[in-house]
Amino acid sequence: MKKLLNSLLIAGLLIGVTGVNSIFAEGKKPKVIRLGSAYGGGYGKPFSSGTIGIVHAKGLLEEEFKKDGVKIDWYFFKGAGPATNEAIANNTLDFGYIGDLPSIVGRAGGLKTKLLAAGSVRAEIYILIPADSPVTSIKELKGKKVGIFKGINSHLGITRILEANGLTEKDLKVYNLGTADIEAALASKDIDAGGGGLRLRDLGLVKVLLSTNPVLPGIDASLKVPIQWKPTGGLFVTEKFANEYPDIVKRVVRVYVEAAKWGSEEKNREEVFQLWSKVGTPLSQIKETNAGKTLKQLNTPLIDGFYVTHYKDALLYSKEHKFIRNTFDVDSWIDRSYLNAALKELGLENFWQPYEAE
Amino acid sequence: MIKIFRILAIGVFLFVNFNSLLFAAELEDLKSEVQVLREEVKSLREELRAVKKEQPVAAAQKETVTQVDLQGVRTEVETLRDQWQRTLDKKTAQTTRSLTFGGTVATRYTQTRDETTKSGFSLSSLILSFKGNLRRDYELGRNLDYAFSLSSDTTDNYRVKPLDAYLTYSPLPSLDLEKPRLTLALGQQKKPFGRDPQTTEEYKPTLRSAQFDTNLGLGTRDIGFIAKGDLFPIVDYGFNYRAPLFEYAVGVINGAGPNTTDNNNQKDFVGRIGINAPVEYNSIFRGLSAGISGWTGQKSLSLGSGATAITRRGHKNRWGYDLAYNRTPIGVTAEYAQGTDATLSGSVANPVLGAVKSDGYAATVFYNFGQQFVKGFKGQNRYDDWYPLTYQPFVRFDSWDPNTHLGNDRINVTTLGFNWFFAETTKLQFNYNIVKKQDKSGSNGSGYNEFLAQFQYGF
Repeated sequence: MKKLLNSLLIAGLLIGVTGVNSIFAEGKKPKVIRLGSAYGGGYGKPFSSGTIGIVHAKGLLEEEFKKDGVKIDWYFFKGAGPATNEAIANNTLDFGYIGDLPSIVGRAGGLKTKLLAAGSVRAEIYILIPADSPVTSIKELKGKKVGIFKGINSHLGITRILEANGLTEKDLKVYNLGTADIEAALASKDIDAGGGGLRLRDLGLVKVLLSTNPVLPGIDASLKVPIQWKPTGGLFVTEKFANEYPDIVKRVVRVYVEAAKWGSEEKNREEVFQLWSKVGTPLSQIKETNAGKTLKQLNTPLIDGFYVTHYKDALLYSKEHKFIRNTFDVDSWIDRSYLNAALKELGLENFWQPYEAE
Repeated sequence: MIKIFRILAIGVFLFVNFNSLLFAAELEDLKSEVQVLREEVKSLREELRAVKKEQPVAAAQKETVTQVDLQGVRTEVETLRDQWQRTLDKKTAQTTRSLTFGGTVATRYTQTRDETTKSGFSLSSLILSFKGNLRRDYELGRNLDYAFSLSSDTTDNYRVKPLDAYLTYSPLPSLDLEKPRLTLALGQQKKPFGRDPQTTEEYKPTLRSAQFDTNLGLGTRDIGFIAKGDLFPIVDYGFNYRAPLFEYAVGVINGAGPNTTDNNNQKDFVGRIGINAPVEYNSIFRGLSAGISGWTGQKSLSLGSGATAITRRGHKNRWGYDLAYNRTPIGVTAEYAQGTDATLSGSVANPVLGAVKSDGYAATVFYNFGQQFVKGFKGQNRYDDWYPLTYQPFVRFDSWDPNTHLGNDRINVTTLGFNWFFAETTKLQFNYNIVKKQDKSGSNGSGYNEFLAQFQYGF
């Protein structure tokens, strides 16, 4: 009994000296890590494009946390960015892979998130029209029925393209449709134009009116779309999770950077594209749309000058065009500490070429 | 001269021999080159053989497709099409217009100490529903839709009766989230009064409706015309969220209840005006709403029997207000309703027209553990039949005074409940009711406790 009391006393003193937090915080683990991707495509398949798609398809997080007994739950939202925001708002996600506009709207609306790393940067926008459409320019879309998936990252770019052609959404009959619905409506000619992928083009059902991709020019090539207008995304974590499990966030980001590195090696080009095609986009189109890009450009996780400027610019544009009511400080939203630690740990500080703000 | 010939002869000899020597050397070179080329050809042939061995399928694919082959494929496709059409004709139910077919079934067990009720199993709800579209406006969403459902009346030997039977038309465009909406509904339908009375079985946390709902006839269907709409919607595309600032509903109905003709020539008027907090999705005030409802009409009253019976018309008025805060995972609702019903008493010779005033209120607090009510979360890309598990404990206090002029006749019911949503349309519900009836003498009164368990599934 005396021994027991002595042991308890020593344990109590130890806790007092070292601090309760340091004992219990170290190695603190959640039972489950919940990750959601807005890049699941609109085709009903539980996969994602982008670097997070590599992490998921190769089971890298499952492998990383296997020894800890931490479960990894993946969610791929049909409703893309807005649905991912909704899930974060309702405390059902810890990490989100989201595009620029929805993440900005979410943060401006009060979602407590941190931007950890870049992902799916400088993606392309294709504005499609039915194959037999007489339309030859964006300006001719005035008064016509156009399908736009509102609230996702391409919404911002499409708005800018319209504006550059002297149009706003109010000049069009806009239908808020998901990716698959836009394709179906284009195929049945229920809409005159819509933003989407190239699946229908290869079936001869649509043609590309405007493209942001220099290697795949559209019919209307009058506008040279600035690179800053291209949709960009990133990996986010909720502040609550980051505060509670900083070590877990560190490990998740490290795995993410490892995946980005593997996905940036040209020898893996075929395999990377095959993994991305699991979302339902044909492999040939992934190859075609990325023909002019290196894998390093596609999978860079760097929060470089270009990336920060892109988000600041998108934030201002969103405020001016009333996508958001409140603004916020982008610099304090970004938390580079986890990314920098992972780059240093993996010796990848100079692996990717940072883009300058200009 | 001879010398010259000799010199020429020697020159020719030497030239011929020199050329022969040169030719011989070239020949040797050529021979060796040919040998090298032969070796290369041999090596290439071997490589080709190896490649052909590795890619027999690719080589086969290069075979030319003929018109005959194409005709064969076409015939195969036509045969498959005919087979599919025959299967469709024979094995598939068809409808004239688009149709969604569904239903709700609930099996309940009640253990009660109420002397007027027996404990045991019952089918508390049997609903078969059909709904669809009669005319679809793809451009603006001015659709003409229908709804028809059948329900077994659990108080009338499970006799099947029509529940809903109405047409709805949207005269305003309904595809643009930022525009106000309006729907016109004609037929037998729920009355636009209050919150609890309009909630369908699928979303009600409690097994029994609030007492004022049942006793004032608010939740029952009626036949008539109802216009419902909203104004000044708040749209947050970042969360795919839409909440109208104002909601309104106004209707003219028989007021006689469902599945019957009107019992007088007067029509009843019913309506509700609601207001929602004009905030974005992530605001703490999202889901905060309030409403005020009213229903006024007349009812036929009779006194006596046979040839001497007399009938009179009397007023029937209802009004109420409701307040709700429903922001997942928390939900709080509070609702009050009051009714005035004309009465006919006295004698046939000297009838007295009077009125009974009654009122009731109910407040419910619930908490959701799980994602059942997060709209975007349910719409996921998955291969399995996954659905978010949700547990919903709740507590409700429900009070009813059948006659406010009489004292000590109030009935209070406190319900402790738990709902377990374990599949998309399936839930298991438990309610424990503590019923207290005030005694007219003003003493502690009577009461009883009861336990209800219900398994509800939809298809």
